[in-house]
Amino acid sequence: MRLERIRLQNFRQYTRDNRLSFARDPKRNVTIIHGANGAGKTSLFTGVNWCLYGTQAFADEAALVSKAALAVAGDGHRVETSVELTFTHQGERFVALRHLVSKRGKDGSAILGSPSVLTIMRVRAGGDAQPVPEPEYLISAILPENVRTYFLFDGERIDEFSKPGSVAVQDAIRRVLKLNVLVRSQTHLSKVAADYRETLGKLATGEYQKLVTKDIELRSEREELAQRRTSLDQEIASARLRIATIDEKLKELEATRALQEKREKLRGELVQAEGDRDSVLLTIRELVAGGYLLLSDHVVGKAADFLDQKRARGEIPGSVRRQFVEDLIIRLKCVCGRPFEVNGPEHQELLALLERTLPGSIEDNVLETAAVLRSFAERAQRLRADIRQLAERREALLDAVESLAAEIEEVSTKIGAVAEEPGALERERKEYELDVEGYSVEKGSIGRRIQDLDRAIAGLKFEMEHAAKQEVKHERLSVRMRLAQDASDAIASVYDKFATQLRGRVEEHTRELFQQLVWKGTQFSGVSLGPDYDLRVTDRWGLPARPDLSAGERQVLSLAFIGAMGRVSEEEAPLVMDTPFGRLSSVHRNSVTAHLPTLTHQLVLLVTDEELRDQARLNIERHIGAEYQLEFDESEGSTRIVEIPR
Amino acid sequence: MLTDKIMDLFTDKSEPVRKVIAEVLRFEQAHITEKMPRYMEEFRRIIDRAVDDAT
Repeated sequence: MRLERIRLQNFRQYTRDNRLSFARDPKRNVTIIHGANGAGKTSLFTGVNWCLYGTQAFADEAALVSKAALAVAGDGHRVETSVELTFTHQGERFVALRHLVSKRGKDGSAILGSPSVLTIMRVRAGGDAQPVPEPEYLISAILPENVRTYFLFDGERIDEFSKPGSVAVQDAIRRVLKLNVLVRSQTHLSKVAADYRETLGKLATGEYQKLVTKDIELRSEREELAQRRTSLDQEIASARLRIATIDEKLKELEATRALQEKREKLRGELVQAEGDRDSVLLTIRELVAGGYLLLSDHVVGKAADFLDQKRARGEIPGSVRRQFVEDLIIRLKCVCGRPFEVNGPEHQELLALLERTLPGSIEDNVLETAAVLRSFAERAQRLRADIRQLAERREALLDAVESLAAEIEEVSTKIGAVAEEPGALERERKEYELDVEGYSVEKGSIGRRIQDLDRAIAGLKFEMEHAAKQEVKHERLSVRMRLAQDASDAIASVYDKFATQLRGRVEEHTRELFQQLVWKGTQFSGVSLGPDYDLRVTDRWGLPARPDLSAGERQVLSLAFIGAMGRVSEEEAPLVMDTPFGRLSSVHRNSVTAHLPTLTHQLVLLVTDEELRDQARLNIERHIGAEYQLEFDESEGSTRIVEIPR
Repeated sequence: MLTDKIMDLFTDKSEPVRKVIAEVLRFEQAHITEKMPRYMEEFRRIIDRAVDDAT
């Protein structure tokens, strides 16, 4: 940041429109603002701070309103206070305007309606200006409020850095050199990683793995059952082959031939009857699937009756169409061609009929609905008749199957009763039949279990797809959590190294500058930062020198430290110093003024005449780019900024 | 910027880690005056971008 211009209006003792341009030439980078005590140096310094940081820099904004302006304004009249600061930063030009509106109270004090408002315009080369959307954010990014005191500082407090036990040095290093940025980055990244971890904990139920295991189990069971079913098919086929062989033998035997042939015939009929029975049952099931017709039959009938009754009462049209009635009325002729008179009985009748008819579209819908309802009722009737007929057929087939099975059993008993070989064969045959029956029952049971398993596997597939999506989310979050944690760990791992590096550089530059600025430099052998970041000065004998430092030497030490901070931070920020040399003896002023302009890009010194004279003035003369005198008008109670021509 | 110099200390880290650190440092530097910046959502976005760029 480089300051370009400041403009103050009704700000403390700056009642008029006061302007001042800062020196910006790199070779002449010093602006000197002279003023006696109370002339307005601190007000000007406050104006810079307030414009950029508002109540953070000066909490009591009512005290900033010009008293002279309030005195001129009548009771309840508005007074507008503003500070406009033009500055450049990284090649861009900005105009910051902080504006405060107040009213004069009855006691003459300022009454604020609301806090001040900051507006920043980004000014283009052609003169176009665009407002910066978040002005406070911009200032925070350029020169954060918490480091401003290291660049815009009060000379009365300059030796705070060198006071024994001061935490200012540590605080300055932490803030200006961005170590706190590192700490916050690391802490916040760690919290983000923890947040990811917590979310992962909620997701990581192992659900997907459980489902996979379950799926494997189900598929394994199904595979075993399918193998058993295949095995049973083979057993059944084998037993049936044995039965067929026995049947052939029984036919060959005289004593059982007739019975065997009868049994085969009955068996053929039984197979046929069973087939018909199953087929009929299947057809009934298909018809019942359309059973909504039967269920709605009653309601549909009632609806159709309701429409018929309405039509019979003439509340909705029957077959008489509105258009047809309208045509007769227009033509004044009956359908038979006989004319009738207007308002005659025929005409009146047709008008009454027209009133009862409905517009064409509704009429069509009513007629169509009635037709559909009638169609539903007819279909339901047909369906009911079909199902009844099939049920009767099934009953007959069940009886036939039962009868045939009984007959076969009777024939089998007779065959089994035959002595010797046929009887033994029949008993063997019976065993095989029982085997087939048992195998078939087991096969049916397996079939049902396989169906259950297939349904479970299908359901599981759906669950696994859902869980897989969660798994992907889990993996996605894991990657992010690791990245956040790695970044946090990386910052933590370099923090000490970086802090040590910076600390070393600050020490080095402070030592160098202190040696340049202090007038008896040969009496000091070094400057270092202690474990608690306290500034330590050692004398020529290597002993601690701080207790012996004069107030001026402590101020020089502070200046050396500030200069070192500016060098190490590489921030392009102006150094604005209010009354910086008040405590310095002439010899220190001389050495400080000889080096101070080289410590920063831009230097603004608000000084009394006593602070900058003789050799000190000569030292800084060649760096001065702009110079002003603050003149206080006692009659008006206001200050005027007067440029000193150069 | 000083934060750019800090990045020299992360040359042994992977590209996504470096990207996350660089953006996080920029964010924190811009929000250093805020006591509780809304970093959580912003950091998640930064991390998302780093992952997306890497894949």
